[in-house]
Amino acid sequence: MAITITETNNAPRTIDADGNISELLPSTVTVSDGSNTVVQNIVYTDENVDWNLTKKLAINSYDNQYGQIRTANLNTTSNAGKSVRDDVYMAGSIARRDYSIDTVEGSALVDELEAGWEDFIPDYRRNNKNLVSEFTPMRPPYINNSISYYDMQVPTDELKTHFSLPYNVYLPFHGLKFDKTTSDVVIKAMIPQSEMNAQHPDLCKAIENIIPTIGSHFFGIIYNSSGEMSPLVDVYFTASYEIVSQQWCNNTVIDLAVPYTDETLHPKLSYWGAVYNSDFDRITHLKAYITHYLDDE
Amino acid sequence: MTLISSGALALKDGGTNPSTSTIHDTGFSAFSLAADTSFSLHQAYRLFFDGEVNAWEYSVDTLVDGTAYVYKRSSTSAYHDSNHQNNIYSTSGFNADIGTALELTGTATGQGAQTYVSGIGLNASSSSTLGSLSSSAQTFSSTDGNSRTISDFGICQNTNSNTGYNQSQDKGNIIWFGLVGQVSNTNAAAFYNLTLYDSSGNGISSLLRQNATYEYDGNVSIWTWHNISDSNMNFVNQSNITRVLLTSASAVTFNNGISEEMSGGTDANPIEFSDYYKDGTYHNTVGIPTSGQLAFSDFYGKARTGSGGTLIHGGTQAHTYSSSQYFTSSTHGVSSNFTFQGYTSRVSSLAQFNGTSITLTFQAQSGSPIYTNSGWTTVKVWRGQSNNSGSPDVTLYRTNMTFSVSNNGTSTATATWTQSGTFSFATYFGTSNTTNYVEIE
Repeated sequence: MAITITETNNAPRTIDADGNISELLPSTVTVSDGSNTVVQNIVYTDENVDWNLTKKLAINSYDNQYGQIRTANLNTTSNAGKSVRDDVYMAGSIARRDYSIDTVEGSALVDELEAGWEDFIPDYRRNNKNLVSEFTPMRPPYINNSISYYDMQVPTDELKTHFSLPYNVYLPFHGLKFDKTTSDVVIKAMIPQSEMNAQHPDLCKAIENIIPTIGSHFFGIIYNSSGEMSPLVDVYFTASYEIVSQQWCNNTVIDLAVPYTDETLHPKLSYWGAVYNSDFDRITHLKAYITHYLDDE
Repeated sequence: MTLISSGALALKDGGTNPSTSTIHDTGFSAFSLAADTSFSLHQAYRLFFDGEVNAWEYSVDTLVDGTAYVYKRSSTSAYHDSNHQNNIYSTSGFNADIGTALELTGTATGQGAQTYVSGIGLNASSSSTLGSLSSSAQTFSSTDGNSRTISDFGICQNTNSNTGYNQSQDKGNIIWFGLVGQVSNTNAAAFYNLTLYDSSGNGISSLLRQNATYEYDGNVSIWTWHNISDSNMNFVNQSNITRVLLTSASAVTFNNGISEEMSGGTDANPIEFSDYYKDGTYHNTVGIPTSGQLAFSDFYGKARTGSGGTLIHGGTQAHTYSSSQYFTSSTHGVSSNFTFQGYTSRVSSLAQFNGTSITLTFQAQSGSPIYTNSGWTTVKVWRGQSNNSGSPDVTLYRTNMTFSVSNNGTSTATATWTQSGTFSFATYFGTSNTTNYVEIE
């Protein structure tokens, strides 16, 4: 299913004494999949028409009503309470698998955390739907085999202090990465766009300039125990596969392979995750999160 | 909602509220435009570098020439001679606010290093007023309830063979329209579409504000359209344009009942007119007397400001509901700009996550604010509405929220209020992707 994005600029029309008006050419961005169409009026930045922002808002509006945001909402709602496995695809293959801790695989990894990092957090089994995985690093800043643990709550005050986190607003989940070689732990703080814009406005603007859609996105910032922020920032967004593969991956802005090509996975696509390297002002890695609800499989 | 600006107004409820996309219609024969043959637009450029005096020598290029047909309200209108000068080795006065989109960069003659210098010079009649506009058509209410006064209107078909180096002649066909004061460049504050008509009823439409170049010169806000085809310009009798119609993007519903608007429909019989003084029982709306003589006409074009608070901002914001295995969120897109604690600001976040926390963030849009934990009392949300008709679905109180600031004293300052608790998504702020109306007092 091809998605077309069309920019239309306005020109003044004539209207005669009988009220007949010449053809209307409004200034809009239209997103269509052939059956469903969304029209977004142009928006301004600093009092100038911003076609780039208008296009991203149009894509977000399409995905809200007909596309990936709607699909992801339906998938989550209809599978509430089930065990989860997230397959994280990158460059055509699964880079890692995140399991909810109530699975056999997830519980085994929690055993490792409880043995190796006892008391780093009060209770690794606090929420059955927390996610855990073991991964071999495929990208910086990760170096050694690590265990990734996602806790579905905002960071505790203890963690905020331990990692010197500077934020006022957090999303209700965060990640901890446990290095199996050095035993070091880093945190990935998840923050909404408003907080990213408040604390790192230039970084936020640079990233939003690159990603294909705006409105559903949020950010992951990695800090080590010295309070140092990684220059590699994760941005997560929801967009239809066609938008990312046809309109984004294959252009000069981001020269990366689409993470997966199996169309049967589309209904399970939750998020895209892009890694932005602030040292080079470019996206260096692109991930796709495919969510499997395991009670059905 | 805003009360109608004219016509039959009832004390309680005038029946079905009228909807219209018309913001202001001057009617035919409202305008009489004056012909100004002195009109032209210019831009200076570097001609060559004079090595003897070690300075650039300047020349001036004509971008637009022709007879302009003009309404100019007063000496502070945007249409005035810029008194620009070419002093050979320097230029001055190229600071007109009409036609700035025609400003060129790059080479002026295609020969070596000659480049255009920024700024437009405007030649115009020295008269302090030009043309006329009937008194009843000079002012109107914008959809955000503010009073607007027309300061400028003009049209000129470019008779110069080009609009600067390598620019087509018809690029310089321009139309401009101005309002007194600093009017935000938005549909709500100004207008969406302008249509002009000559006395025969022929017109040019789809002059969308979003396609015009906007300037504020300290006195008036001016919009200029350019690049209008010769065929469109020739379609109307430019010297005899008599009517201007301003419309909104979509139909706006106006209230035709004073009590319905000012009490939010909460007042019950007997409805007493004396209850509707400002600072009385129901409202605190600027422009309504606080005592003495009170007339129905005082309420024309007014939108209610709630009691105990001044309306800071009211407008629609796009709402998104998103649910995943990680978190569930209800978020709003950014608002239009408003003034908060003396600074142009906007709502950059109104969201709730997982049903346990609400976040409200104001973000600086100009200046370097130092935000404090004050300045607003309530945030009200009407789910799925484009106006504040009826009671709000949600009211947030600043006193219930925790305050924090970031980057205070800088251009990226933000003020955030958060509240923890239990918040159902159905209430805060809906489970569908729609538009909500948000009001801050």
